[in-house]
Amino acid sequence: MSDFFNMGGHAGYIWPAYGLVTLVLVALYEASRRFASRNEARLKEMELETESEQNSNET
Amino acid sequence: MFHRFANPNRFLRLTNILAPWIAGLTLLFISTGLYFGLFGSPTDYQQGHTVRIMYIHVPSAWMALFCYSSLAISCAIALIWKHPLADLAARATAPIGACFTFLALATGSLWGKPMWGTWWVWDARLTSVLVLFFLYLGYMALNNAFDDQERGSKASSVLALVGFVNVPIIKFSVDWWNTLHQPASVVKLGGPAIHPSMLTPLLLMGAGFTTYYLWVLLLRIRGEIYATKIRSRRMRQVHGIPNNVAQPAPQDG
Repeated sequence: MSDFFNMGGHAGYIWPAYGLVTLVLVALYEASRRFASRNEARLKEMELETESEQNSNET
Repeated sequence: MFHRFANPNRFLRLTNILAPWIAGLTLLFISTGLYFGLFGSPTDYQQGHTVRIMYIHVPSAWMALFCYSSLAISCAIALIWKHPLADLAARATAPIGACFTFLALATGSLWGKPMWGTWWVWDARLTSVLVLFFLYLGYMALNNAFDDQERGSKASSVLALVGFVNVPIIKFSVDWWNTLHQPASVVKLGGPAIHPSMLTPLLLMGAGFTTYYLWVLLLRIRGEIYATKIRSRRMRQVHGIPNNVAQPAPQDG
């Protein structure tokens, strides 16, 4: 098992490479998910605002 | 047929159905790819264990070029036909392509140190990929540089199209110039020059990175569609036009 983590003495290059790819891809996914849900929530909010404005205008 | 998906609301409904399948495929491809890449493949007779970096480096580099090609195609469609989703797709693609290009450079560097004895050389392949990275950054910066989004999109689309000349330069740089970087060994005349035991993790990771791109792309296009709707609502507010005029009924699920 320690042989596996040691990677024939190149552990210091191989694991950082895999770690970096994981980090960047997970962070990009997370940022994109937040970007989409933040804008979706903001739009819903704006739609509710117009609706309540219209209701107050009618009464 | 293509124009059916030009409607953003229809597009949002479609992505809701597709997203879980694409996410599942991504996890499946990457987990099997990692298994074969880290456990199920032999060491290289010259590179030893560092060959395992290739299973993330090469797919990253493929995606860097693939994303730039999609970016250029989307920009062309946006400029010529003014397709409403093309510009959003281009804007959604750029950050993903930039990330893959960064990863190709960084993992290549981590491989180069033990194998070539240096983190970086200014040779044709590495330099042209660095230029690709700056093209992505330039596209994103120019896109956001104007108050008027339409002007930003037009200017950055032209930049992206001009920069496309770099893609064939990257692809053929290893043949045209003397470089430390090895020539193509998967996509070449006469078939791949790689043993199946190493080709399997490479192709699995390639497939996984491609579906990852689609997954994040759909997510980002969603975000861009909402952002566009928010912008047009703000414009209406500024100009005093009521929001219920000519606004299609919300029909997303």
